Amino acid sequence: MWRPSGIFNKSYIEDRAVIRTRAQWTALVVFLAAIIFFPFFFSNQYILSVIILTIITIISLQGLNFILGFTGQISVGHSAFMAIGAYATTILMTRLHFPFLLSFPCAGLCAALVGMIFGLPSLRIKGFYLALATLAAQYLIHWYLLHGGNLTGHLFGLSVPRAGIGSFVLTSDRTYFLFAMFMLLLMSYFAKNIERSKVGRAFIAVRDNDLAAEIMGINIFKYKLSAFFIGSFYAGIAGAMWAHYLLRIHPDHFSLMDSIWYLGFLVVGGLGSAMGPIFGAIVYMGLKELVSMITPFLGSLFPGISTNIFSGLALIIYSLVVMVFLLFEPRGINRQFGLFKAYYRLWPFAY
Amino acid sequence: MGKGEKPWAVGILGIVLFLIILTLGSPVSAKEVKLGVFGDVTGPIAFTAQQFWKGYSDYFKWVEKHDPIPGVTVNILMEDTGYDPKRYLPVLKKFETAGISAGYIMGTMGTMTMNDELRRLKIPCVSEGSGFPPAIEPPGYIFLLRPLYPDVLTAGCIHFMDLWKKAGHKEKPKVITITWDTPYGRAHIELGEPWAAKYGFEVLPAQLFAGQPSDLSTQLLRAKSLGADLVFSNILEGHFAVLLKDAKRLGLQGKMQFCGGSECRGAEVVKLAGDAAEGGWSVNHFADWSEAKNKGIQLGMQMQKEFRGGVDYQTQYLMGVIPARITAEAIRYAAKTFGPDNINSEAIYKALTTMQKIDMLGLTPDASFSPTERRPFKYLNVSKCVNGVWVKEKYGIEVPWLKPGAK
Repeated sequence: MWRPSGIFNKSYIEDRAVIRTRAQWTALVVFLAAIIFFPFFFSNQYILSVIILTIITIISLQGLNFILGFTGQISVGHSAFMAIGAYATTILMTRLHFPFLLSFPCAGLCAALVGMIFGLPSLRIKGFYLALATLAAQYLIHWYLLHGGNLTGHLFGLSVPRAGIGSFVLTSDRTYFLFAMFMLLLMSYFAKNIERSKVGRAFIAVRDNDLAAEIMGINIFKYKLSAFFIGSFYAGIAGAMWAHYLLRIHPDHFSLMDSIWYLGFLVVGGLGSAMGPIFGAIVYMGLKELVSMITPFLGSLFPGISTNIFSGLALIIYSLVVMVFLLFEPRGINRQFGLFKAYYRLWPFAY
Repeated sequence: MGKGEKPWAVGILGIVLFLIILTLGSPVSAKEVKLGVFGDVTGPIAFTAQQFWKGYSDYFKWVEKHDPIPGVTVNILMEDTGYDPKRYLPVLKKFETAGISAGYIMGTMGTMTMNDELRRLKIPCVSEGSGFPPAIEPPGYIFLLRPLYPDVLTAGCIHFMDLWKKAGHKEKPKVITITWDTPYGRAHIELGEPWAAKYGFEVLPAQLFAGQPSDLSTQLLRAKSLGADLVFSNILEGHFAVLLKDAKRLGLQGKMQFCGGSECRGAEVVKLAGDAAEGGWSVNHFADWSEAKNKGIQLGMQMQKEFRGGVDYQTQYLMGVIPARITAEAIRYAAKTFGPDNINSEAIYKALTTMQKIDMLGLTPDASFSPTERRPFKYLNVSKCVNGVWVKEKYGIEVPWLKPGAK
């Protein structure tokens, strides 16, 4: 770990601190102030909306990062776990009249429990076979939500109440942005700390070599299930945030394609790192917007080929980006970011 | 200035000249009305949506050139939404910021995702998304452009039952759904199948398929083993072509009738399925390219020649003209009633809910909405493919109103 010259840790508390220097604290305070005031000075609803959806995607990817990045277990059902969170918060609020403050964490817990159940096969199988088991989760959950009768809203999905505490309801994008940002900071803080804790190290040990980890006394049964529990909890929270933002949920909002792209863009961001999900989600949502902007333009420029090529341009570009990263930078943007930071800290010296 | 000259007269003359120049130099500025198009021009319904867009944009070009709305210029903003739920809300926010007065939604996913937010923002949108009945019950800001998908099934069943009885059959006919596993594809099942059972059909378990299939033998063989008489599919042209081709290969044509929804009557079906398209049905609410004397069809041809350089007989092109026509007529009505300067989302909403029997130039029956009604077409047609052309089989079938939640 590179540190600025003259920074020495004198206690374990200092050694464990995420934020170490006065400059870092200043940067954090400035960042938090910027976040709080940002929506009040920035009135572009479109950008705000894209940022909110990006934050939701980041939280979802943070969950997947626990399962895949830290513990090395493949999950192709992550989007379905988001659906569980979305439906859970809606049903709890509309049927059981839970307040939002209670239904929201419960949504995460419901998704965590379902995720843990579908994670059970990970104790016996891994790799491709585990991918198939979690694929089953995606299909089973989707099927149930479509055929769950009045509870899940038949084919038409459910209308979702707005999030709020008491009489304070998150009606505008500005307030929802602040809520989403608060959740992002909270979930990132937990993610970072879990990564540095005994649990996080056990996850990494299981990922690197589960047999060796077991010999060293790590209960892989416990930690594999814990990874699914925590990862699906994050997915559930992201799903609940999605539901309260869109105010309408449907099983098709949580598709298999989303699960697959989450995997792909987690690789792009950087597996097994705290920053990876952030980079991955920003690239994913940024590309989505970019492609949507250029496609109609290209379509009008080359009308003869618009139907054949441009209609699938998004898929082509996403796939290319994932392939390029797998070939040339399998450790993702996070590694390049690390190299940049190291270079910046030493600058102007070469080494 | 010399004696006898009148400086005030020069001043007045100057002012008059200034006013004349001002009047001549600045033509009366037309009110700009912005429309937002949620274009699913990429993604799973791209082919269909691109045709919608061509028809929609061409019609407004035609209006501007040949039949302008007095005092109004229409500015169409189109964003690619890709049938992706993550795209609709940001695009809606973008349009809201841009100040659109009305919109056009191309699919069920968009209608479903934005319905509640459109009610909140009070922006009226005409929509192709008939697969989501809660959008119009209770009536809100979505104005459907086509029959609800359960209506499409009911029209097919009513026509089939007539033929079944005329043929002297006493037993219940069996209907099976083979459809796309999407909100659009499944949209008729929830309300339509219970109705079909009450109407006298034996309803067999629906057979779903995912993605873009190249073979539907499994679903067809299941239909065969269950003894289906009527196969109903709310699918797109490419899917219907595959279904008809496989049915012919399996020797099922003549043993059961194949009936598709609104998207199944098109040139692509004939092009892709060839001879297998013969005898296929499509339930729809709009005219066909083969109706040469139809004013709407003539207009469609004229627009394509003018703006596209030639006629491409795509059904969805005509379907794109329908929302454009309704919207343009609503703007025209609003301009006349409230004045061009007062056209906004509220004025267009009022126009849409007040206007009765909008002249659709024969493309569809005259369309009417009301404060409590968002379903403009209650009479549907069945077309049949004969010698590679879609022709009238039965027109004007009155369909029941299947309210969401009422089974």
